Amino acid sequence: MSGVERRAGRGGRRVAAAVVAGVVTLALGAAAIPRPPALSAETTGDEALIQRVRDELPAGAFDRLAVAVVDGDEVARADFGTATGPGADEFEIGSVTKTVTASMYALAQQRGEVQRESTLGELLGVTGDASSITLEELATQHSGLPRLPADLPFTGRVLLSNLSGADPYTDDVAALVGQASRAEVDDEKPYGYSNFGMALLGQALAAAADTPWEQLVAERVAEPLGLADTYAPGDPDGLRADAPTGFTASGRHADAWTMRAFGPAGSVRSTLDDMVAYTVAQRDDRAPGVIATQPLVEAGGGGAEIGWAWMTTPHDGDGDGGRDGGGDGADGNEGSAPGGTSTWHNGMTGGYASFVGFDRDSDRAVVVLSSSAVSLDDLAFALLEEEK
Amino acid sequence: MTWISAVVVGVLALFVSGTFAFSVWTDKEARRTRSRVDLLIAALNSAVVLVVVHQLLPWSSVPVALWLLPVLLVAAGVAGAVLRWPGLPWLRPDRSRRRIVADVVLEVVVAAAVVVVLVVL
Repeated sequence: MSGVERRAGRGGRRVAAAVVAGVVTLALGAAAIPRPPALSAETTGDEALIQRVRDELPAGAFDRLAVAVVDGDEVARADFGTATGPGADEFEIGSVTKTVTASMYALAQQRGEVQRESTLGELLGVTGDASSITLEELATQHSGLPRLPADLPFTGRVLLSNLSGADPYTDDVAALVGQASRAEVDDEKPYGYSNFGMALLGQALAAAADTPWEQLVAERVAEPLGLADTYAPGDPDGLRADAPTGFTASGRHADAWTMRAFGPAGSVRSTLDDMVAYTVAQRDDRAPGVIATQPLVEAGGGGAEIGWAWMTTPHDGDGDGGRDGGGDGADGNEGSAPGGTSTWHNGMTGGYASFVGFDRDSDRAVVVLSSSAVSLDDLAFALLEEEK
Repeated sequence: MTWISAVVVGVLALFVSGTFAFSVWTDKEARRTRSRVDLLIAALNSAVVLVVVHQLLPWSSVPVALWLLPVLLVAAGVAGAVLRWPGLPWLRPDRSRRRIVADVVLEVVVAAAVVVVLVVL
């Protein structure tokens, strides 16, 4: 074989190798094509509500979704891929947890464990500017604390978890107290939604009762209302077997948020059945610590007020609804019944979104739980505030 | 992820993978990959941007077929790299060994960090 032929043979083999390498790369890439979650096609419940939810869902990576509209005693449900009854698939309710903490604040006062003027310095040994913050200021989101601790390590964890889908809240109570002791406090103490403050409120109540906050959730709120599938895990070891996880807004898997010391701000897990029972009990004035729902002070303008964690806003037809300043952010909707007010809280974790609300005048309550971190507040407010 | 950041990530992915493909197929001497190490780094960068795009783009709202665009560019780059590999030296003759090592270490550390944050954690 001549040198020219040998070179031609090597060139041919090289071209073949290049084609194979390119095709293999292409095949691997095609096999890895993104597979975002889709709203479950398995539906149960009220057909009209199911269709309405489908029609009004915003764009996003939805998976499991559970919606309930309660008029009086009549419950209409729309379940997408979620089992019902005892042992049903649970959801993280996110910041709706703050209403549970608020109930426990009311109960702790009834039991004489704390007073409205009890301070973080007295109950948790917080030093510095935050030591004089009262439980009342924390419960009404007027503590002057920032939304989250301004510590560099904490901020770094939050940024990292936005990319990784991990739970950024990994501090224990001692670390939380340390962050509070170093915190800068706004002396004017305007309304300011704060996960930091609500976490401190919950841990202060736990300290006053000498009982872990997670145990207080079970004993003082879940058990009296018969909420068998509602619990606060405390840490990843506290999750129930096969506890589900959700999806970020872009469709990636998100870790469970157990939130450790920040649990009182957003760690409770529950089901649609339990959240309906919880919300209806609030609406009907028979929930433990229901006084927490009574509006007390202005919260962000637009006629919005806040009680202990619970937001109260005029129906959207009465103005801008004041919703931008409350909860985890919410917009208005159209076609609402005039003259009423909605009492509500929403929630969002790395992989879940939630909303509970009620209107005592119309005797309506609405619960929305989703296993993806896409806000469904518009849908929830539309359901809550529409005319019958 | 906002729409703006999604567009930025998408354009970045196309730029990086497109640069890889261009550098192995172009006849322009100044733009061509000049060493095997350069080829490996360009391939590594392309793989990392594929991971970033896969993990961060809101694929529920974006046609998933768009994923194949950077994949096609990377596949073209890999095919071209195989063709060019035998004719390249391991290291660029116009750069010091110390600088090449520093570049490689930096690239590998950044790539590993991105993959760990987006995939492993």
